[in-house]
Amino acid sequence: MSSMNEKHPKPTYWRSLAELDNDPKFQKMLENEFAEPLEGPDMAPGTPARRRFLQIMGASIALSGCRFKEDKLLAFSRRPEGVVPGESRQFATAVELNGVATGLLVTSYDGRPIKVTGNPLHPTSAGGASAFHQAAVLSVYDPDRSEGVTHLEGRARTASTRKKFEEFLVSERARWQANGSKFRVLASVSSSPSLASLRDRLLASFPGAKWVEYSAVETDNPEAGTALCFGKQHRAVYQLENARVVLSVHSDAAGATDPSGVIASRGLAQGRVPEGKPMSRVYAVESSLSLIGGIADHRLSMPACSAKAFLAALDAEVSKLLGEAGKGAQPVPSAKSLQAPATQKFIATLAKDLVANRGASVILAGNHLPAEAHAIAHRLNVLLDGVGKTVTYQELPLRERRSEALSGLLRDIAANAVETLVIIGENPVLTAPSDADFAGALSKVKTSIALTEFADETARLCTWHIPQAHALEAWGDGLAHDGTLTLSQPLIEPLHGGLSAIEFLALLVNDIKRDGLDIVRRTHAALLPSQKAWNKAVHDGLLPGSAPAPASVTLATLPAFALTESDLAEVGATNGKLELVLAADSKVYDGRFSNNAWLQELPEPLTKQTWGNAVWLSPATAKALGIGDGDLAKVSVSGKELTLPALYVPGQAEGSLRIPLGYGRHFAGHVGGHDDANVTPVGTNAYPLSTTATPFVLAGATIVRVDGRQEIATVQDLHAIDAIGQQGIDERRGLLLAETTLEKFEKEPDFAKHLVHHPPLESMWNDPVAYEGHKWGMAIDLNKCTGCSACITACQAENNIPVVGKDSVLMGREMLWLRVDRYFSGTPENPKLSFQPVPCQQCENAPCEQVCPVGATMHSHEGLNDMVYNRCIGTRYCSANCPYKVRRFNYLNFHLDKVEATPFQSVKDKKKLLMHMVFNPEVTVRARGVMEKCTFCVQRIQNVKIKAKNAKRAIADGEIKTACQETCPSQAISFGDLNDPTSAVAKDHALPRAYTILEELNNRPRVRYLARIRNPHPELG
Amino acid sequence: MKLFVFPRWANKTRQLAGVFLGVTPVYLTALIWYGASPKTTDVGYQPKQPVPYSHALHAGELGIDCRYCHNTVEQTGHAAIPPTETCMNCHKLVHPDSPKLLPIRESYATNTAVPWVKVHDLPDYAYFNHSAHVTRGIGCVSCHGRVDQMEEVFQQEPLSMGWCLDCHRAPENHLRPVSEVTNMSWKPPEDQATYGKRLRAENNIAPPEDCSTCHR
Amino acid sequence: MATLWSETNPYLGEPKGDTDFARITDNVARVAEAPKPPIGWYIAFGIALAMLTGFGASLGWVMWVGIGAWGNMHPVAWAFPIVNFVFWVGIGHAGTLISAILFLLRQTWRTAINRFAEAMTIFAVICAGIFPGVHIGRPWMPYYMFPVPNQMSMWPQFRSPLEWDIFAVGTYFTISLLFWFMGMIPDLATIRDRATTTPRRFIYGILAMGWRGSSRQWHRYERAYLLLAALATPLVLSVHSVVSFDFATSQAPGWHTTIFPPYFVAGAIFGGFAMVVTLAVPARQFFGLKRLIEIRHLELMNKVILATGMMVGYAYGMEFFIAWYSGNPYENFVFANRLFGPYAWAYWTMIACNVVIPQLHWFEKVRTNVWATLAIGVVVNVGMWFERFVIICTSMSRDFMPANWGYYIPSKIDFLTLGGSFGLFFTLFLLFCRFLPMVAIAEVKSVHRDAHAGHGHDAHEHSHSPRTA
Repeated sequence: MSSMNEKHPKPTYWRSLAELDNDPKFQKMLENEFAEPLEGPDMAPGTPARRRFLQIMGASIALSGCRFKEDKLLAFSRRPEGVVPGESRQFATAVELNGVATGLLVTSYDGRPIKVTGNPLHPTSAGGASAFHQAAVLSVYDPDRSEGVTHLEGRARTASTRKKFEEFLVSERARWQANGSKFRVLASVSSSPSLASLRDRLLASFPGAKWVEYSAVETDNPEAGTALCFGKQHRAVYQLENARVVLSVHSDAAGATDPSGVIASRGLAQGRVPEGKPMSRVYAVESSLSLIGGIADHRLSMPACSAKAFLAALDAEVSKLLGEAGKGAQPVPSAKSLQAPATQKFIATLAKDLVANRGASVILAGNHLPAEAHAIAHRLNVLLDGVGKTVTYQELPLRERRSEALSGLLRDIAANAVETLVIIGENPVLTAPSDADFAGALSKVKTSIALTEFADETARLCTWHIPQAHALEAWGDGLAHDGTLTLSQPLIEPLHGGLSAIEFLALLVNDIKRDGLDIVRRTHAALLPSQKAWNKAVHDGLLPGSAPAPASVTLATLPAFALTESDLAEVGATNGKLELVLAADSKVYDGRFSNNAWLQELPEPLTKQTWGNAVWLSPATAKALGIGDGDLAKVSVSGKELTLPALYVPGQAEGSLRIPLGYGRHFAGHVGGHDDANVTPVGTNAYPLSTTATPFVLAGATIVRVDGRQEIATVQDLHAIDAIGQQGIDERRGLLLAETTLEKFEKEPDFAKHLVHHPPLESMWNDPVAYEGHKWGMAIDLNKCTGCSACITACQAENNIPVVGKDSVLMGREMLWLRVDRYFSGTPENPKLSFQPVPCQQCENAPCEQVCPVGATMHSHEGLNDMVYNRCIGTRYCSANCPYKVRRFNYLNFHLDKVEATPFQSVKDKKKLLMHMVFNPEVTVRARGVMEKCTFCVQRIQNVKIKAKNAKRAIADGEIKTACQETCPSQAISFGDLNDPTSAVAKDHALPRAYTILEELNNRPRVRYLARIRNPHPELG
Repeated sequence: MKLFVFPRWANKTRQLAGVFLGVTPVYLTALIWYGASPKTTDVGYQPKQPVPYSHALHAGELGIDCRYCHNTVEQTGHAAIPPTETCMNCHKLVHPDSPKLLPIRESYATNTAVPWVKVHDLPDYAYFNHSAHVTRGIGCVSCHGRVDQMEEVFQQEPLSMGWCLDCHRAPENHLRPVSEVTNMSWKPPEDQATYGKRLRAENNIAPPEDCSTCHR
Repeated sequence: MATLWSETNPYLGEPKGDTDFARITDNVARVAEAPKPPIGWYIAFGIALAMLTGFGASLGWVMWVGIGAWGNMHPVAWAFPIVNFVFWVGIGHAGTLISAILFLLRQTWRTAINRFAEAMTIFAVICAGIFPGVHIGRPWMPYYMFPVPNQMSMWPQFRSPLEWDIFAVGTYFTISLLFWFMGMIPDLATIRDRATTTPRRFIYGILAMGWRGSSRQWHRYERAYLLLAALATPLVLSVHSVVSFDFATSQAPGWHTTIFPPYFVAGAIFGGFAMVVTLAVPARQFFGLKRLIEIRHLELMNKVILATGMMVGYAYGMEFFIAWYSGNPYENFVFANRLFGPYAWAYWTMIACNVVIPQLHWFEKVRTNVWATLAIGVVVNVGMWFERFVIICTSMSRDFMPANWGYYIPSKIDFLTLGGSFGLFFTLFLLFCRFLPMVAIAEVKSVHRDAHAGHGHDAHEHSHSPRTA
C-alpha cells in the first residue's frame, strides 16, 4: 500500500502531453532499461535495441565490431522523497458508475498508473474489480481523448484555450447570477458530496437554474418502487451472503453493468460453497441469460413484459402461504403467460422455498422493470423478513424522477426557455431516446458547454467543449453502494489538462477553491478535520464507518396494480408479437467505453461476442421466423427500424429480443469508430429504437430477415457447429466440466475424480524435478465462477497482451491468455450454463516442453512451464501439442501495428506512444512470431520471492496473487504453494470435488477445478 | 579440337580439398565463437559521458562507498543513477564553478536530467535484480570490475547469458561477506573456492537456473 | 504432344549411330547438346519461372508481415506450410527407392528411369527443405535449432521430433545428392567427349571430374555406387518415419498413432512413383526417349503405384479400426469428424484420389496407356497432398476442448506459396532436362543385350561393365 507522502505525489506526474516529449522521465521511459515496453521498435523479444540489428540482417552480421544503439540514463534532477526508480507502488482511489463509487487500488510505476485492482477495505469492492475497472488504465492513455478546449463559432469548430473560456465565463456569469432561469445543467448520476455541494452553490448563485440528473441505461425505478412501498425513496442494499434462497427477476445484479455488481457476486458466491455450511439456492426468472441466471439452480425464461404479472402471482402465492392474503397482496393475475403448468409449479415451489427460508431469502428485481414490479419485490422482501438480514434500506432525499426531469428539460428547450446548457460527462445526443431528438434540441440552445473526455457526438455539437479529466487523473469523492464515504486521488496529472467535474463547476460558479484537492478537503472538513485523519482516509481510500445506519421501513399497503395489456402481452414468434429489450452492454456500458480496445475485444460473457453487438433471439424464435445465426435482420418497433446481425442465444425467452446498447458510435475514436478518421463504427446503435416512455422494454416489435450476413466475431463456436460437432461436444462436456447435484455430491463427494476411466498413468520420462522449495498451483472453483470475465481483462492489463482487432478474431487469432469457456447443456429453450476459466494448466509432465526444438519452453524447479519469448522461434509445435490449446501465437505484430510502427521503423506519431505507457515493465512485450501463454504471473512470483529472500523471511500464503485471482469478484480462484499444506490452494486441491481436466493424458496439470454443484429444489428436480 | 584436360596441379585437388574441408569448419567455428561472443562485441565498451565523472577519483581516492550514490541497490532491482542533487551535495562547495561541472549545475538549476550514457546495458528481456545479488554477497566488482580504478567506466565483463550461468552454477567463486560487497579490493581470507563454499552453505545460497529467473 | 512439336523438336527422329550403344548415347546426349531447345521447353520454363517468382514473392511477404500473411490460426497452428513440407519430402522417396533399393534388388528395368527419378528426389527435397525454415515465426533465427556454439551456452532440445527432422532430412539430402551426382559422372564424361565447344568441354569436363572410363575407375565407381546404395536404402525408410514422428509422438487425436511410420513411408513411395510417371510420360514423349523409357517401364511403375496405393488404403482403414478399438472418445471423434465433419470434402477427395482411382491400374489397358498413366499419376499427387491436409488441418481444427475448435481457411498467400513450390520444382527439373543426361546412359547400356558377355567387347568405350549378372 502507499506510504504517507502520496498526498502530494506531484513530482511523479506529467505536467502535460506537450511536455512529455522533453520531460526527462518520459525520455527515460522511452529509453532506459526500466521501461522496455516503451521502446516502440525494440519490443521484439530477442531483439532489444542493441540486438535489433541482427533481426534485420540475420545472424551472420553479429560479428565483432558492430556497436549498438546508445542508451541514455536520465535520472531525476531531484528525486522526490519515497520515490524509488523502477519500483511500483499502489495508491487507493475510486471510480464512480451510475452514482456508486467503487474503491480501487491502482499500481503506479514511475508515475504511470498501469494496473487496477479492487480495494479490499472498500465495501463495494472487497478486493474485487470488474472488467470496466480493469480497463480504466487503458482509457487514461487513450490518444483519442480531447486535448484542449474547442469552441464552435458559427459552423466552424476552432481550437480555443482554457483562458478564452474563462474570459467567456466572466462575461456570462453575471447574467446567470442575475437570472439563472434559462440555465440548465445535465449531469451524470453521481453520489459525490463535493459535487452535490457545488451543485447547491450553483443553484443558489444562479437563481432559477435547474439541474438534471441523467443516466442513459439505468432507471430510478428501484427507488420509485421503494417510494410506493415505504412512502419515501430508499436505496436497497443487499447482503446476498446471508441469503439461503435468492430470486432474481430479470436482474443483472452480478454483472459489470450493475455498479455494485462486484460485491453482489462476492455475496452470491459465498453462498455457493457445498462444503460445511448449507448451500444457497438461486432462482432466476429472466428474458435473457444473465450472470445470475448462469449460476442459478432453476431458471425460467420469461419475457420482460410479464415480470410484473409474475411478481404479482408470486406475491399472491407467498401472501397466501404467510396467511397475509388480502393485506395488500396482489390479486392473482390472469396473464396467460403464467398459465403454463411448468410456470405454475415453478411459482408454487418457489413461494414455498421462499417462505421456508423466511429471513434468509431475498428477491432482486431488474433495474428496467417498472416501479410497481420493484414495489412488489420490496414488499416481498419485507414480508419474508429479509429486512436487516438480506437487505437493508437507506433513505434518499426526495428527487424528481429522472425521466421526468429529462422530458422537462426538453420541453423547456422547445419553449426556448433554455439559453445555456451545461453537459457534464454524458453523451445524450447518442444516448437519449430518439423521440427526444436531443441533437435538435441542442441546436436551439444558444450556449451549450460540454465537459467530456472525448469530442463525442454531443461535445462536437456544443458551442464549448472542455476536456474532462479521467477519474484516475482527478481528486474526487463519492459514496459506496452502502453509503460509505469514498475518496479518490489522482494517479497522474491530467495528460491533456482536463478538468474534473467538481473543478469545472467550481470554475462555473467562480468558487474560491479551484483545485480538486482543496474542494474535496473543504467538503469533508468536518469529517476529516486533521491532516492525519485526512491522510489516513486518502491512504485507505475511504472513511470507515461513514455509512449511514439502515432506515427502519414500514410497509404501506400496496394498491392492486393494474396490469396493462403490455404487461399481459403474450409475446411469441408464432403470434408475431415480439418484445424488444434494450440493455446496457457488459463491455461498453452505455457507449462510454466503446473506445477502449480491451473492452471491445473482451468476449461477452454469455455470447462470447467481441467487437460489436447483435440482436439476441432464441433459436426457436429465429427458426420460426426463418432467421439464421449471423443473418442480417431488420428489427422494427413503433415505426423505427434497425438492421443488424441476428445471434442465436440459448435461454433467450421465446419471442423476446435483446439488443445491447452503446455500439454503432460515429464519433468515439480510432477504436470505437469515427467518421472523420474513416473508422467504421463497431456494432450497431440501438438507441434510436428506444422511446422516452418505454426506454428499455418495448412491446410490439417485429423482426424480419434481410439479405446478407455479417460474421459475428465470437471467440467460441466462431463457425456454426454441425451435427457431428455437437455430438462431440455433448460427449465430452461432462468430462471436461464436472457437474452434479448437491444431493448426489453428498453421497459421492469425489465423483469428479471418477469421470474418466483410464489405465494407470505412467510416463516415459522420470520426473526431472523434485519440486523441493516452492510448488506453485492454482484452483478454480466452478461453483463460484459467474463467468463475468473480469479476470480476462485483468490478465490482459497485467501481461501486456495485445489487442488483435475484429478481423484477427474472425480468423481465430485472439491473444487472450485466459479463456473462459462457456458451455450450454439441456434444451436451447431452458439451458443450463457452465463456465470454465482455462489458463495454462502448467502441467508437470508438459507436452509443450518436450516438442520445442529450441527449448523455449522449459520446466522450472517450482513446476512452472517457463515460456521464454526471446528464445522462441515460433515453430508452433507446442501449441499443436497442447491439449488445452492455451498457447497463443503472435501471427502479426499486433502491438507495433497499433502504433503504426514496424520492427524496422519506429513510431512517427509520438502521441500514439501514449498507448504504450500502459505496459507493465515487469513483463516482456512480445512482437510477432513468438508463442506466449499464461505464466501464473511469474513476474509477481519472482518479485515477491526476491523481496522475501532479501528480508530472509518465508513467503506468506496469499502474498503472491495472480492478476486473475486478485480481481475475481467472486473469489473463485486460489493460488499458492502446494508444498505448504496450510495454503488455501493446497486445501482446495485436497477437496474431494477437485479434479483436473484431461487427466487421462497424464500431463498432471497444476490447475485443479472444483466441480460445479447445483442445488435444485427436490420438487422441481 | 582437343579434349579438356585437367592441368597437372589438379591432382593436388584431393589434398587441397582435404585441407579445405578440415580447416573451414574450424575457422568458421572460431570466427563465430569469438567474433560473435559478447567478449568481443561488448567488453571494453566505454562511451563518452556528458560529464567526465571519474569513479577512480570518487570511489577510489576519496573512497566514497558505492551506496552513497547508488543508494537503492540493496532494496530494489535497479541500482539507481543518483539524482543531480546527490552531486550537488558536495559540489555546491567543491569546485562550485568548474566548467566541467556545468551540465550538472544546469541540470540542477533547470530540473532536467543529465544524459548519462548507459554502459552496462542488458537486453530488455533479461530481468536482472541488483538487490537479489548484493544481499547474497556478490560484490559489485564481480560484474562491474575495478570501477574504483576507472577514470571513465567501461564494461569489464561480457554480461552474456553464458557468463551469468557460470556464476549461477558455481556462485562460490564469487561469494563474499555481505558487509564486503562494495569493497573493491576485498581478498578472500583463504582460498576463494572453499571460503565461498562455506558462505554458500551458511546463507544457503541456491541460485536458480530456471528460465523465468531472468526472463518473464 | 510429340506430333505437335515434331517440326520444331530436334529431339525427335532417329538417333544417329551405327551400333545400339552409339544410338543410345546419341538419343540421350543430343538432348543436352541441342543448340536450342524447342519453343515448348521455353514456354514450360517460362511458366515454371513465373510460378517460382510467385514463390519468392509470397515468402518475401510472409517474412515482412509475419506468418499471419498465411491463414494459420488458433487452433490450426500448422497448416499449408507443413502440409507442403511433408508432401515434398514424400515425393522425394521414389527417387531413392528406385536408385537404391531396386538397384540392390537387381531390378534392371530401373536403369531407364533412375536418373531423373533421382533428380526429382533432389529437387523435391530442396522444395521440402525450404518450408520448415520459412514457416517459423521468426525465420531470421532458425540457427537456434542447430547445435552451434553460442553465448547463451544453450543446446537445442534433442527430445523434439522437429530436431530429429533436421538431421534426418539433412542426411537424406546429402546422400541423395552424392548418389545422383556420382551416378552421372560417366555420362557427363560422355557428353564432355561429344562436346563441340570449349565452354561445354570445360564445364562438363569439370563435372566429369576427369573420368576416363578406365576399368580401375569403373571398379571404384561400382563399389562406391554399391556403398551409397546401401547407405541410401535405410534412409528411404528412416526419413519419412522421422517426419511421421512429428505427428505420431504428439498427443493430438488423429496424430498420436503408431501406424504412422510405415503408413507415411508407403504413402511417400506411392506419391513418389506417381510423380515419376507424371514426369516420365511427358519427358519421354517430348524428348524422344520412348526407345529407352518403354511402356514396360511405365507399366511396372503403375504396378508399384497400385500396390502402395492399396497399402495406403489399408492404413486408412486401420486408423479407423484402431480409433474404434481404442475406445478413446477423442480419437473416435476425430475420425467421425473426418468422414462427416466440416472437412469431409477433403477426406473424400483423398479417398477418391488415393484409393479408388488407382484401382484402374488393375486393367492392363489402363496401365499401358501413357495418357491414363499420366492422368492417374496427377490424381494420386493431388490425393497425397490432401492426405497430409487431412492429417494436419482436420485433426487440429477439432481437438480435445470444444471451446478451441475452429475452421481453417487458407489465405491467397497460402495458395501462392503452394503453387510457387511447384514452380521451383519444375524450374529445376526443366534445367536438368536441358543440360544433364536424363537417362543413365552407361547403365542402360549395361543392361542392353549387347553388353552381355560374349560380344560387343570393343563396341563402345564404356560398354564393359562388370554389372551384367
